[in-house]
Amino acid sequence: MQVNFMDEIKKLPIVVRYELLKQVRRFRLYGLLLIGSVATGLAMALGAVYLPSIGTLDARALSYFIVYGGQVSFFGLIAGVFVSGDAIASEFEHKTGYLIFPNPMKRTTLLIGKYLSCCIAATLVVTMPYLIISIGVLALTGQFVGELFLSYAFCVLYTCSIVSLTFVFSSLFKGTMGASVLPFLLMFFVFPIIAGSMELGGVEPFMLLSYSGSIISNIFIIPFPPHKVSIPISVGGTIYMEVTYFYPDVVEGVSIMVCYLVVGLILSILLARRRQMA
Amino acid sequence: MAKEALVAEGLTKFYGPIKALEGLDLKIAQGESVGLLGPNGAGKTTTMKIFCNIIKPTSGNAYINGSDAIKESSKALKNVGTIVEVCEFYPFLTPVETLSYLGRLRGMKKSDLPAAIKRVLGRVKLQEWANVKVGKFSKGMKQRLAIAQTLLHDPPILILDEPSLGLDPRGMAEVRSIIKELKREKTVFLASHLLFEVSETCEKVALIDRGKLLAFDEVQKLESVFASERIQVEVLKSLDADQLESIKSIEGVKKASASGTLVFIDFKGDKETQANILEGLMERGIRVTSFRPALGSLEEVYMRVVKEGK
Repeated sequence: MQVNFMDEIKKLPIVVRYELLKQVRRFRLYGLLLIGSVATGLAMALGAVYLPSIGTLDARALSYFIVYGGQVSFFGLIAGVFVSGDAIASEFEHKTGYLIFPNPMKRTTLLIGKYLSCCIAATLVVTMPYLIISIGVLALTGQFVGELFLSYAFCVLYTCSIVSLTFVFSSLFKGTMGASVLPFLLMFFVFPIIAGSMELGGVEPFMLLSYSGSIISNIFIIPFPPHKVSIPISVGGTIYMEVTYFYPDVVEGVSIMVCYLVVGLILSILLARRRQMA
Repeated sequence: MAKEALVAEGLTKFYGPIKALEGLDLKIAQGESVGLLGPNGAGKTTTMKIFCNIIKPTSGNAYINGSDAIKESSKALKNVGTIVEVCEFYPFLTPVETLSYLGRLRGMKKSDLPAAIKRVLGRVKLQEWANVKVGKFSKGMKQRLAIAQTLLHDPPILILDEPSLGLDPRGMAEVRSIIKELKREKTVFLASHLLFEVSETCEKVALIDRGKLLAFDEVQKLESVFASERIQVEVLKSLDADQLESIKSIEGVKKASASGTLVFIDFKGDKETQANILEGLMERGIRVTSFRPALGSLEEVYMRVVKEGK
Protein backbone atom coordinates (compact mmCIF):
# COMPACT_ATOMS: atom_id res chain seq x y z
CA MET A 1 0.00 0.00 0.00
CA GLN A 2 2.87 2.32 0.90
CA VAL A 3 4.56 1.52 -2.40
CA ASN A 4 1.37 2.50 -4.24
CA PHE A 5 1.22 5.76 -2.30
CA MET A 6 4.83 6.55 -3.21
CA ASP A 7 4.09 5.74 -6.85
CA GLU A 8 1.24 8.24 -6.80
CA ILE A 9 3.42 10.89 -5.16
CA LYS A 10 6.01 10.43 -7.90
CA LYS A 11 3.36 10.98 -10.56
CA LEU A 12 2.14 14.24 -9.04
CA PRO A 13 4.95 16.48 -10.38
CA ILE A 14 4.53 14.88 -13.81
CA VAL A 15 0.84 15.83 -13.87
CA VAL A 16 1.62 19.34 -12.57
CA ARG A 17 4.29 19.85 -15.21
CA TYR A 18 2.17 18.87 -18.21
CA GLU A 19 -0.99 20.54 -16.91
CA LEU A 20 1.04 23.71 -16.45
CA LEU A 21 2.37 23.32 -19.98
CA LYS A 22 -1.24 23.21 -21.19
CA GLN A 23 -1.96 26.43 -19.26
CA VAL A 24 1.11 28.18 -20.63
CA ARG A 25 0.12 27.28 -24.20
CA ARG A 26 -3.28 28.94 -23.88
CA PHE A 27 -3.93 32.53 -24.93
CA ARG A 28 -6.20 33.14 -21.96
CA LEU A 29 -3.27 33.16 -19.54
CA TYR A 30 -1.56 35.92 -21.49
CA GLY A 31 -4.86 37.79 -21.84
CA LEU A 32 -5.31 37.72 -18.07
CA LEU A 33 -1.73 38.88 -17.51
CA LEU A 34 -2.23 41.75 -19.94
CA ILE A 35 -5.56 42.87 -18.46
CA GLY A 36 -4.16 42.69 -14.92
CA SER A 37 -1.10 44.71 -15.88
CA VAL A 38 -3.04 47.39 -17.77
CA ALA A 39 -5.64 47.79 -15.01
CA THR A 40 -2.97 48.02 -12.30
CA GLY A 41 -1.00 50.53 -14.35
CA LEU A 42 -4.16 52.60 -14.82
CA ALA A 43 -4.98 52.51 -11.09
CA MET A 44 -1.43 53.58 -10.31
CA ALA A 45 -1.60 56.51 -12.73
CA LEU A 46 -4.90 57.64 -11.20
CA GLY A 47 -3.42 57.33 -7.72
CA ALA A 48 -0.40 59.38 -8.73
CA VAL A 49 -2.72 62.11 -10.07
CA TYR A 50 -5.37 62.24 -7.33
CA LEU A 51 -3.54 61.44 -4.10
CA PRO A 52 -1.17 64.50 -4.11
CA SER A 53 -4.24 66.74 -4.33
CA ILE A 54 -5.31 65.44 -0.91
CA GLY A 55 -1.73 65.50 0.34
CA THR A 56 -1.29 61.77 0.88
CA LEU A 57 1.08 60.44 -1.78
CA ASP A 58 3.01 58.08 0.43
CA ALA A 59 3.77 54.42 -0.18
CA ARG A 60 1.00 53.03 2.07
CA ALA A 61 -1.73 55.30 0.69
CA LEU A 62 -0.72 54.63 -2.90
CA SER A 63 -0.55 50.85 -2.29
CA TYR A 64 -4.02 50.89 -0.73
CA PHE A 65 -5.34 53.07 -3.55
CA ILE A 66 -4.11 50.65 -6.21
CA VAL A 67 -5.00 47.40 -4.45
CA TYR A 68 -8.46 48.60 -3.42
CA GLY A 69 -9.23 50.93 -6.32
CA GLY A 70 -7.56 48.71 -8.89
CA GLN A 71 -9.60 45.75 -7.61
CA VAL A 72 -6.59 43.45 -7.51
CA SER A 73 -8.67 40.77 -5.73
CA PHE A 74 -10.95 40.83 -8.77
CA PHE A 75 -8.04 39.51 -10.85
CA GLY A 76 -7.68 36.73 -8.32
CA LEU A 77 -11.29 35.85 -9.00
CA ILE A 78 -11.14 35.93 -12.78
CA ALA A 79 -7.74 34.22 -12.86
CA GLY A 80 -8.97 31.44 -10.56
CA VAL A 81 -12.13 30.85 -12.56
CA PHE A 82 -10.63 31.16 -16.04
CA VAL A 83 -7.70 28.83 -15.49
CA SER A 84 -9.65 26.16 -13.62
CA GLY A 85 -13.22 26.21 -14.97
CA ASP A 86 -12.45 23.60 -17.59
CA ALA A 87 -9.83 21.65 -15.64
CA ILE A 88 -12.06 18.68 -14.89
CA ALA A 89 -15.18 19.35 -16.94
CA SER A 90 -13.25 19.40 -20.22
CA GLU A 91 -11.97 15.85 -19.65
CA PHE A 92 -15.61 14.79 -19.95
CA GLU A 93 -16.84 17.39 -22.42
CA HIS A 94 -13.97 17.01 -24.89
CA LYS A 95 -13.52 13.29 -24.17
CA THR A 96 -9.84 13.62 -23.29
CA GLY A 97 -10.73 11.55 -20.23
CA TYR A 98 -10.66 8.48 -22.48
CA LEU A 99 -6.96 9.17 -22.93
CA ILE A 100 -5.96 10.14 -19.39
CA PHE A 101 -8.19 8.03 -17.12
CA PRO A 102 -7.04 4.56 -18.32
CA ASN A 103 -3.55 5.15 -16.98
CA PRO A 104 -1.97 3.54 -13.91
CA MET A 105 -2.72 6.53 -11.71
CA LYS A 106 -5.40 7.33 -9.14
CA ARG A 107 -7.91 9.92 -10.22
CA THR A 108 -7.15 11.76 -6.97
CA THR A 109 -3.53 12.20 -8.08
CA LEU A 110 -4.67 13.61 -11.40
CA LEU A 111 -7.03 16.04 -9.68
CA ILE A 112 -4.48 17.25 -7.15
CA GLY A 113 -1.96 17.70 -9.96
CA LYS A 114 -4.49 19.70 -11.93
CA TYR A 115 -5.33 21.75 -8.86
CA LEU A 116 -1.71 22.64 -8.19
CA SER A 117 -1.08 23.63 -11.79
CA CYS A 118 -4.20 25.83 -11.83
CA CYS A 119 -3.08 27.48 -8.58
CA ILE A 120 0.37 28.14 -10.02
CA ALA A 121 -1.10 29.63 -13.23
CA ALA A 122 -3.61 31.79 -11.33
CA THR A 123 -0.91 32.92 -8.88
CA LEU A 124 1.18 33.99 -11.86
CA VAL A 125 -1.69 36.23 -12.98
CA VAL A 126 -2.04 37.96 -9.58
CA THR A 127 1.72 38.23 -9.18
CA MET A 128 2.02 40.59 -12.12
CA PRO A 129 -0.12 43.42 -10.58
CA TYR A 130 1.83 43.15 -7.32
CA LEU A 131 5.12 43.35 -9.18
CA ILE A 132 3.91 46.46 -10.97
CA ILE A 133 2.64 47.97 -7.69
CA SER A 134 5.94 47.26 -5.91
CA ILE A 135 8.06 48.79 -8.63
CA GLY A 136 5.67 51.70 -9.24
CA VAL A 137 5.26 52.63 -5.58
CA LEU A 138 9.01 52.49 -5.05
CA ALA A 139 9.59 54.65 -8.12
CA LEU A 140 6.94 57.23 -7.21
CA THR A 141 7.50 57.52 -3.47
CA GLY A 142 10.96 56.07 -2.90
CA GLN A 143 9.40 53.90 -0.18
CA PHE A 144 8.12 50.39 0.17
CA VAL A 145 5.51 49.00 2.57
CA GLY A 146 5.86 45.54 4.08
CA GLU A 147 2.08 45.04 4.06
CA LEU A 148 2.33 44.66 0.31
CA PHE A 149 3.79 41.19 0.93
CA LEU A 150 0.94 40.33 3.27
CA SER A 151 -1.62 41.64 0.80
CA TYR A 152 -0.01 39.54 -1.91
CA ALA A 153 -0.07 36.43 0.31
CA PHE A 154 -3.77 36.98 1.08
CA CYS A 155 -4.50 37.52 -2.59
CA VAL A 156 -2.73 34.28 -3.53
CA LEU A 157 -4.67 32.40 -0.84
CA TYR A 158 -7.92 34.00 -2.01
CA THR A 159 -7.14 33.01 -5.62
CA CYS A 160 -6.43 29.41 -4.60
CA SER A 161 -9.74 29.34 -2.72
CA ILE A 162 -11.47 30.52 -5.88
CA VAL A 163 -9.75 27.69 -7.76
CA SER A 164 -11.11 25.22 -5.17
CA LEU A 165 -14.61 26.62 -5.48
CA THR A 166 -14.42 26.47 -9.29
CA PHE A 167 -13.12 22.89 -9.10
CA VAL A 168 -16.34 21.87 -7.32
CA PHE A 169 -18.38 23.11 -10.28
CA SER A 170 -15.90 21.72 -12.77
CA SER A 171 -16.24 18.24 -11.29
CA LEU A 172 -20.01 18.57 -11.14
CA PHE A 173 -20.82 19.89 -14.60
CA LYS A 174 -20.26 18.26 -17.95
CA GLY A 175 -19.82 21.58 -19.75
CA THR A 176 -16.98 23.99 -19.11
CA MET A 177 -19.33 26.94 -19.62
CA GLY A 178 -21.47 26.10 -16.59
CA ALA A 179 -18.40 25.34 -14.52
CA SER A 180 -16.99 28.79 -15.31
CA VAL A 181 -20.15 30.88 -15.12
CA LEU A 182 -21.45 29.61 -11.78
CA PRO A 183 -18.49 30.73 -9.65
CA PHE A 184 -18.88 34.22 -11.13
CA LEU A 185 -22.61 34.18 -10.38
CA LEU A 186 -21.89 33.14 -6.83
CA MET A 187 -19.20 35.74 -6.22
CA PHE A 188 -20.89 38.64 -8.02
CA PHE A 189 -24.57 38.10 -7.25
CA VAL A 190 -25.41 35.36 -4.79
CA PHE A 191 -22.78 36.05 -2.13
CA PRO A 192 -23.21 39.88 -2.19
CA ILE A 193 -27.01 39.49 -1.89
CA ILE A 194 -26.59 37.13 1.08
CA ALA A 195 -23.93 39.36 2.63
CA GLY A 196 -26.03 42.50 2.20
CA SER A 197 -29.12 40.90 3.70
CA MET A 198 -27.21 39.46 6.63
CA GLU A 199 -25.45 42.74 7.40
CA LEU A 200 -28.76 44.62 7.35
CA GLY A 201 -30.00 42.09 9.84
CA GLY A 202 -26.92 42.67 11.97
CA VAL A 203 -25.48 39.22 11.32
CA GLU A 204 -21.88 38.71 10.21
CA PRO A 205 -21.63 36.90 6.83
CA PHE A 206 -18.68 34.89 8.06
CA MET A 207 -19.37 31.95 5.75
CA LEU A 208 -18.85 33.85 2.49
CA LEU A 209 -15.61 33.79 0.55
CA SER A 210 -16.29 37.21 -0.93
CA TYR A 211 -16.49 38.61 2.62
CA SER A 212 -13.02 37.35 3.46
CA GLY A 213 -11.47 39.07 0.43
CA SER A 214 -11.58 42.51 2.06
CA ILE A 215 -8.45 41.74 4.11
CA ILE A 216 -6.42 41.96 0.88
CA SER A 217 -6.81 45.77 0.85
CA ASN A 218 -7.71 46.44 4.50
CA ILE A 219 -4.26 45.27 5.59
CA PHE A 220 -2.92 48.71 4.54
CA ILE A 221 -5.29 50.59 6.87
CA ILE A 222 -3.96 51.75 10.26
CA PRO A 223 -5.54 50.92 12.59
CA PHE A 224 -7.11 47.86 11.00
CA PRO A 225 -10.88 48.44 10.52
CA PRO A 226 -13.01 47.44 13.53
CA HIS A 227 -14.83 44.14 13.28
CA LYS A 228 -18.23 45.79 13.43
CA VAL A 229 -19.33 49.29 12.48
CA SER A 230 -22.93 50.41 12.98
CA ILE A 231 -24.18 53.57 11.31
CA PRO A 232 -27.65 54.99 11.77
CA ILE A 233 -29.12 56.14 8.46
CA SER A 234 -32.26 58.11 7.88
CA VAL A 235 -34.94 56.30 5.93
CA GLY A 236 -37.35 59.22 5.96
CA GLY A 237 -37.84 62.14 8.35
CA THR A 238 -36.90 61.20 11.88
CA ILE A 239 -36.98 57.48 11.24
CA TYR A 240 -33.52 56.00 11.55
CA MET A 241 -32.27 52.57 10.74
CA GLU A 242 -29.04 51.13 12.00
CA VAL A 243 -26.89 49.64 9.27
CA THR A 244 -24.05 47.39 10.33
CA TYR A 245 -20.90 46.72 8.35
CA PHE A 246 -18.64 43.84 9.21
CA TYR A 247 -14.94 43.57 8.46
CA PRO A 248 -13.16 40.30 9.02
CA ASP A 249 -9.88 40.53 10.89
CA VAL A 250 -6.81 38.86 9.39
CA VAL A 251 -7.23 35.57 11.27
CA GLU A 252 -10.90 35.29 10.39
CA GLY A 253 -10.34 36.24 6.76
CA VAL A 254 -7.52 33.74 6.34
CA SER A 255 -9.57 31.03 8.10
CA ILE A 256 -12.51 31.51 5.73
CA MET A 257 -10.20 31.28 2.71
CA VAL A 258 -8.47 28.16 4.05
CA CYS A 259 -11.87 26.55 4.72
CA TYR A 260 -13.01 27.19 1.15
CA LEU A 261 -9.69 25.94 -0.18
CA VAL A 262 -9.69 22.67 1.77
CA VAL A 263 -13.42 21.87 1.65
CA GLY A 264 -13.68 22.82 -2.03
CA LEU A 265 -10.72 20.65 -2.99
CA ILE A 266 -11.93 17.63 -1.00
CA LEU A 267 -15.46 17.99 -2.35
CA SER A 268 -14.26 18.27 -5.94
CA ILE A 269 -12.08 15.17 -5.53
CA LEU A 270 -14.98 13.18 -4.11
CA LEU A 271 -17.29 14.32 -6.90
CA ALA A 272 -14.80 13.70 -9.69
CA ARG A 273 -13.86 10.26 -8.38
CA ARG A 274 -17.49 9.17 -8.50
CA ARG A 275 -18.07 10.61 -11.93
CA GLN A 276 -18.22 8.25 -14.88
CA MET A 277 -17.73 8.78 -18.60
CA ALA A 278 -20.89 7.08 -19.80
CA MET B 1 -3.38 -23.87 -19.22
CA ALA B 2 -2.44 -20.28 -19.98
CA LYS B 3 -3.07 -17.73 -17.26
CA GLU B 4 -5.99 -15.43 -17.87
CA ALA B 5 -5.13 -11.89 -18.94
CA LEU B 6 -8.65 -10.52 -18.84
CA VAL B 7 -11.62 -11.86 -16.89
CA ALA B 8 -15.17 -10.56 -16.69
CA GLU B 9 -17.26 -12.08 -13.93
CA GLY B 10 -20.99 -11.43 -14.04
CA LEU B 11 -20.48 -7.90 -15.33
CA THR B 12 -23.73 -5.99 -15.19
CA LYS B 13 -24.18 -2.33 -15.94
CA PHE B 14 -27.27 -0.16 -15.79
CA TYR B 15 -27.44 3.37 -17.16
CA GLY B 16 -30.48 4.51 -15.20
CA PRO B 17 -33.23 2.11 -16.21
CA ILE B 18 -31.34 0.89 -19.29
CA LYS B 19 -29.51 -2.38 -18.97
CA ALA B 20 -26.26 -2.17 -20.96
CA LEU B 21 -24.63 -5.37 -19.69
CA GLU B 22 -26.23 -8.41 -18.14
CA GLY B 23 -24.04 -10.85 -16.27
CA LEU B 24 -21.23 -10.95 -18.81
CA ASP B 25 -18.73 -13.74 -18.17
CA LEU B 26 -15.61 -13.84 -20.30
CA LYS B 27 -12.13 -15.23 -19.88
CA ILE B 28 -9.31 -14.27 -22.20
CA ALA B 29 -6.07 -16.16 -21.81
CA GLN B 30 -2.66 -14.52 -22.12
CA GLY B 31 -1.61 -14.31 -25.74
CA GLU B 32 -5.11 -14.70 -27.14
CA SER B 33 -6.61 -12.25 -29.58
CA VAL B 34 -10.33 -11.88 -29.05
CA GLY B 35 -12.80 -9.77 -30.98
CA LEU B 36 -15.89 -8.46 -29.24
CA LEU B 37 -18.64 -8.26 -31.83
CA GLY B 38 -22.14 -6.96 -31.53
CA PRO B 39 -24.62 -4.50 -32.98
CA ASN B 40 -24.90 -0.91 -31.76
CA GLY B 41 -25.91 -0.82 -28.10
CA ALA B 42 -24.84 -4.42 -27.53
CA GLY B 43 -22.55 -3.48 -24.65
CA LYS B 44 -19.14 -3.61 -26.37
CA THR B 45 -17.93 -0.16 -25.35
CA THR B 46 -19.43 -0.53 -21.88
CA THR B 47 -17.35 -3.69 -21.41
CA MET B 48 -14.22 -1.92 -22.61
CA LYS B 49 -14.87 1.09 -20.38
CA ILE B 50 -15.21 -1.11 -17.30
CA PHE B 51 -11.87 -2.80 -18.03
CA CYS B 52 -10.31 0.65 -18.48
CA ASN B 53 -11.72 2.01 -15.19
CA ILE B 54 -13.70 4.68 -17.00
CA ILE B 55 -17.02 3.47 -15.62
CA LYS B 56 -17.88 1.21 -12.71
CA PRO B 57 -20.05 -1.88 -13.13
CA THR B 58 -23.37 -2.01 -11.29
CA SER B 59 -22.34 -5.49 -10.21
CA GLY B 60 -19.72 -8.05 -11.12
CA ASN B 61 -15.96 -7.79 -11.45
CA ALA B 62 -13.36 -7.22 -14.12
CA TYR B 63 -9.78 -8.41 -13.70
CA ILE B 64 -6.63 -7.65 -15.64
CA ASN B 65 -3.79 -10.07 -14.95
CA GLY B 66 -5.53 -10.99 -11.69
CA SER B 67 -5.90 -7.40 -10.46
CA ASP B 68 -9.32 -5.85 -10.00
CA ALA B 69 -9.72 -3.26 -12.76
CA ILE B 70 -11.79 -0.99 -10.52
CA LYS B 71 -10.42 -1.44 -7.00
CA GLU B 72 -6.77 -1.84 -8.03
CA SER B 73 -6.90 0.20 -11.22
CA SER B 74 -3.33 1.53 -10.97
CA LYS B 75 -1.92 -1.99 -10.75
CA ALA B 76 -4.34 -3.45 -13.28
CA LEU B 77 -3.73 -0.80 -15.94
CA LYS B 78 0.04 -0.71 -15.58
CA ASN B 79 0.63 -3.15 -18.41
CA VAL B 80 -2.26 -2.27 -20.66
CA GLY B 81 -2.56 -0.13 -23.76
CA THR B 82 -6.03 1.22 -24.42
CA ILE B 83 -8.11 2.98 -27.01
CA VAL B 84 -11.64 3.78 -25.88
CA GLU B 85 -14.19 5.27 -28.26
CA VAL B 86 -12.92 8.19 -30.31
CA CYS B 87 -9.72 9.16 -28.55
CA GLU B 88 -9.31 12.91 -28.09
CA PHE B 89 -6.07 14.65 -27.22
CA TYR B 90 -5.07 17.89 -25.54
CA PRO B 91 -4.96 20.34 -28.47
CA PHE B 92 -2.17 22.47 -26.99
CA LEU B 93 0.32 19.63 -26.79
CA THR B 94 2.32 18.05 -29.61
CA PRO B 95 2.48 14.25 -30.14
CA VAL B 96 5.95 14.20 -28.55
CA GLU B 97 4.68 16.06 -25.48
CA THR B 98 1.53 13.96 -25.25
CA LEU B 99 3.48 10.72 -25.49
CA SER B 100 6.08 11.97 -23.00
CA TYR B 101 3.30 12.78 -20.54
CA LEU B 102 1.62 9.39 -20.94
CA GLY B 103 4.93 7.52 -20.93
CA ARG B 104 5.97 9.12 -17.65
CA LEU B 105 2.59 8.33 -16.08
CA ARG B 106 3.06 4.71 -17.16
CA GLY B 107 6.38 4.53 -15.37
CA MET B 108 8.73 4.86 -18.33
CA LYS B 109 12.17 6.30 -17.73
CA LYS B 110 12.77 9.79 -19.10
CA SER B 111 15.86 8.56 -20.94
CA ASP B 112 13.89 5.79 -22.70
CA LEU B 113 11.17 8.08 -23.99
CA PRO B 114 12.79 9.69 -27.08
CA ALA B 115 13.57 6.31 -28.68
CA ALA B 116 10.17 4.84 -27.77
CA ILE B 117 8.34 7.90 -29.11
CA LYS B 118 10.32 7.81 -32.35
CA ARG B 119 9.53 4.10 -32.73
CA VAL B 120 5.76 4.39 -32.23
CA LEU B 121 5.36 7.57 -34.28
CA GLY B 122 7.25 5.86 -37.08
CA ARG B 123 5.00 2.85 -36.83
CA VAL B 124 1.85 4.95 -37.32
CA LYS B 125 3.56 7.23 -39.86
CA LEU B 126 3.35 10.43 -37.86
CA GLN B 127 7.08 11.25 -37.64
CA GLU B 128 6.71 14.45 -39.65
CA TRP B 129 3.98 15.68 -37.30
CA ALA B 130 5.89 14.91 -34.13
CA ASN B 131 6.18 18.54 -33.03
CA VAL B 132 2.93 19.96 -34.38
CA LYS B 133 0.15 20.71 -31.89
CA VAL B 134 -2.53 18.02 -31.96
CA GLY B 135 -5.23 20.70 -32.30
CA LYS B 136 -4.31 20.86 -36.00
CA PHE B 137 -4.72 17.11 -36.56
CA SER B 138 -7.47 15.43 -38.58
CA LYS B 139 -9.61 12.68 -37.06
CA GLY B 140 -7.56 10.01 -38.81
CA MET B 141 -4.28 11.46 -37.57
CA LYS B 142 -5.61 11.51 -34.02
CA GLN B 143 -6.60 7.87 -34.36
CA ARG B 144 -3.05 7.06 -35.50
CA LEU B 145 -1.73 8.88 -32.46
CA ALA B 146 -4.19 6.92 -30.33
CA ILE B 147 -2.65 3.70 -31.64
CA ALA B 148 0.85 5.06 -31.05
CA GLN B 149 0.09 5.81 -27.40
CA THR B 150 -1.19 2.27 -26.81
CA LEU B 151 2.12 0.85 -28.02
CA LEU B 152 4.38 3.39 -26.31
CA HIS B 153 5.19 1.38 -23.17
CA ASP B 154 5.11 -1.95 -25.04
CA PRO B 155 2.27 -3.36 -22.93
CA PRO B 156 1.50 -7.10 -23.03
CA ILE B 157 -2.26 -6.43 -23.14
CA LEU B 158 -4.12 -4.24 -25.62
CA ILE B 159 -7.73 -3.20 -25.14
CA LEU B 160 -8.89 -1.61 -28.36
CA ASP B 161 -12.33 -0.17 -28.92
CA GLU B 162 -12.94 0.43 -32.63
CA PRO B 163 -9.25 1.09 -33.35
CA SER B 164 -9.74 1.88 -37.03
CA LEU B 165 -12.61 4.31 -36.55
CA GLY B 166 -12.14 7.46 -38.60
CA LEU B 167 -9.35 6.08 -40.74
CA ASP B 168 -9.39 5.93 -44.51
CA PRO B 169 -9.29 2.45 -46.15
CA ARG B 170 -5.50 2.52 -46.37
CA GLY B 171 -5.23 3.55 -42.72
CA MET B 172 -7.65 0.79 -41.73
CA ALA B 173 -5.57 -1.78 -43.55
CA GLU B 174 -2.43 -0.48 -41.83
CA VAL B 175 -4.08 -0.72 -38.43
CA ARG B 176 -5.17 -4.29 -39.12
CA SER B 177 -1.66 -5.11 -40.20
CA ILE B 178 -0.27 -3.64 -36.95
CA ILE B 179 -2.75 -5.62 -34.85
CA LYS B 180 -2.00 -8.84 -36.73
CA GLU B 181 1.65 -8.31 -36.04
CA LEU B 182 1.08 -7.48 -32.37
CA LYS B 183 -1.20 -10.42 -31.63
CA ARG B 184 1.75 -12.78 -32.03
CA GLU B 185 3.22 -11.53 -28.78
CA LYS B 186 0.38 -9.75 -26.96
CA THR B 187 -3.12 -10.30 -25.66
CA VAL B 188 -5.51 -8.34 -27.85
CA PHE B 189 -9.10 -7.59 -26.87
CA LEU B 190 -10.72 -5.71 -29.72
CA ALA B 191 -14.26 -4.38 -29.95
CA SER B 192 -15.52 -3.70 -33.40
CA HIS B 193 -18.63 -3.68 -35.49
CA LEU B 194 -16.51 -4.46 -38.55
CA LEU B 195 -16.78 -8.21 -39.07
CA PHE B 196 -13.91 -8.42 -41.50
CA GLU B 197 -11.69 -6.57 -39.06
CA VAL B 198 -12.38 -9.11 -36.34
CA SER B 199 -12.15 -12.16 -38.61
CA GLU B 200 -8.87 -10.91 -40.04
CA THR B 201 -7.19 -9.92 -36.79
CA CYS B 202 -8.60 -12.20 -34.08
CA GLU B 203 -8.45 -15.91 -33.38
CA LYS B 204 -11.50 -15.92 -31.14
CA VAL B 205 -14.70 -13.98 -31.19
CA ALA B 206 -17.21 -13.11 -28.49
CA LEU B 207 -20.64 -12.22 -29.83
CA ILE B 208 -22.77 -10.05 -27.59
CA ASP B 209 -26.16 -8.48 -27.97
CA ARG B 210 -28.22 -6.51 -25.45
CA GLY B 211 -25.50 -6.97 -22.90
CA LYS B 212 -25.53 -10.76 -23.06
CA LEU B 213 -22.79 -13.04 -24.33
CA LEU B 214 -24.31 -15.14 -27.13
CA ALA B 215 -21.29 -17.08 -28.31
CA PHE B 216 -17.57 -17.24 -27.53
CA ASP B 217 -15.25 -19.48 -29.49
CA GLU B 218 -12.59 -19.61 -32.16
CA VAL B 219 -13.64 -17.86 -35.33
CA GLN B 220 -13.18 -20.99 -37.46
CA LYS B 221 -15.10 -23.19 -35.03
CA LEU B 222 -18.02 -20.81 -34.92
CA GLU B 223 -18.05 -20.64 -38.69
CA SER B 224 -17.98 -24.41 -39.04
CA VAL B 225 -20.64 -25.00 -36.36
CA PHE B 226 -23.01 -22.65 -38.04
CA ALA B 227 -22.09 -23.97 -41.46
CA SER B 228 -22.73 -27.60 -40.58
CA GLU B 229 -26.35 -27.43 -41.60
CA ARG B 230 -25.68 -26.00 -45.01
CA ILE B 231 -24.36 -27.89 -48.02
CA GLN B 232 -22.74 -26.35 -51.03
CA VAL B 233 -23.32 -28.42 -54.17
CA GLU B 234 -21.72 -27.77 -57.51
CA VAL B 235 -23.66 -29.15 -60.45
CA LEU B 236 -22.70 -29.69 -64.07
CA LYS B 237 -25.52 -27.56 -65.49
CA SER B 238 -27.48 -24.73 -63.90
CA LEU B 239 -30.78 -25.95 -62.45
CA ASP B 240 -34.16 -24.80 -63.69
CA ALA B 241 -36.93 -23.71 -61.31
CA ASP B 242 -38.63 -27.13 -61.32
CA GLN B 243 -35.42 -28.94 -60.43
CA LEU B 244 -34.74 -26.48 -57.61
CA GLU B 245 -38.31 -26.93 -56.34
CA SER B 246 -37.96 -30.70 -56.45
CA ILE B 247 -34.89 -30.54 -54.17
CA LYS B 248 -37.06 -29.07 -51.42
CA SER B 249 -39.13 -32.28 -51.37
CA ILE B 250 -36.10 -34.32 -50.26
CA GLU B 251 -36.47 -35.33 -46.64
CA GLY B 252 -34.63 -32.99 -44.24
CA VAL B 253 -34.20 -30.13 -46.75
CA LYS B 254 -35.40 -26.79 -45.41
CA LYS B 255 -34.38 -24.48 -48.19
CA ALA B 256 -32.58 -24.56 -51.53
CA SER B 257 -31.19 -21.72 -53.57
CA ALA B 258 -28.95 -21.52 -56.59
CA SER B 259 -26.37 -19.17 -57.99
CA GLY B 260 -25.18 -20.34 -61.42
CA THR B 261 -23.90 -23.87 -61.04
CA LEU B 262 -23.70 -23.52 -57.25
CA VAL B 263 -26.62 -24.81 -55.18
CA PHE B 264 -26.95 -24.08 -51.46
CA ILE B 265 -29.09 -26.49 -49.46
CA ASP B 266 -30.08 -25.74 -45.85
CA PHE B 267 -31.12 -28.88 -43.99
CA LYS B 268 -31.95 -30.18 -40.55
CA GLY B 269 -30.30 -33.42 -39.59
CA ASP B 270 -27.06 -35.36 -39.36
CA LYS B 271 -24.64 -37.04 -41.77
CA GLU B 272 -27.29 -39.65 -42.63
CA THR B 273 -29.51 -36.81 -43.84
CA GLN B 274 -26.65 -35.46 -45.95
CA ALA B 275 -26.23 -38.88 -47.58
CA ASN B 276 -29.97 -38.99 -48.30
CA ILE B 277 -29.83 -35.55 -49.87
CA LEU B 278 -27.01 -36.66 -52.16
CA GLU B 279 -29.00 -39.74 -53.19
CA GLY B 280 -32.07 -37.55 -53.72
CA LEU B 281 -30.14 -35.32 -56.07
CA MET B 282 -28.97 -38.34 -58.09
CA GLU B 283 -32.50 -39.72 -58.25
CA ARG B 284 -33.68 -36.41 -59.72
CA GLY B 285 -31.08 -36.64 -62.45
CA ILE B 286 -29.01 -33.77 -61.15
CA ARG B 287 -25.35 -34.33 -62.06
CA VAL B 288 -23.22 -33.36 -59.08
CA THR B 289 -19.56 -32.43 -59.49
CA SER B 290 -18.90 -31.57 -55.82
CA PHE B 291 -20.80 -31.87 -52.57
CA ARG B 292 -19.50 -30.39 -49.33
CA PRO B 293 -20.55 -28.52 -46.19
CA ALA B 294 -20.63 -24.81 -46.90
CA LEU B 295 -18.33 -22.81 -44.63
CA GLY B 296 -20.28 -19.79 -43.35
CA SER B 297 -18.57 -16.46 -43.07
CA LEU B 298 -18.30 -14.73 -39.71
CA GLU B 299 -20.93 -12.36 -41.02
CA GLU B 300 -23.42 -15.23 -41.39
CA VAL B 301 -22.56 -16.51 -37.93
CA TYR B 302 -23.00 -13.04 -36.52
CA MET B 303 -26.34 -12.47 -38.19
CA ARG B 304 -27.68 -15.86 -37.14
CA VAL B 305 -26.50 -15.69 -33.56
CA VAL B 306 -27.76 -12.16 -33.03
CA LYS B 307 -31.08 -13.06 -34.68
CA GLU B 308 -31.48 -16.20 -32.58
CA GLY B 309 -30.39 -14.30 -29.48
CA LYS B 310 -33.37 -12.02 -29.91
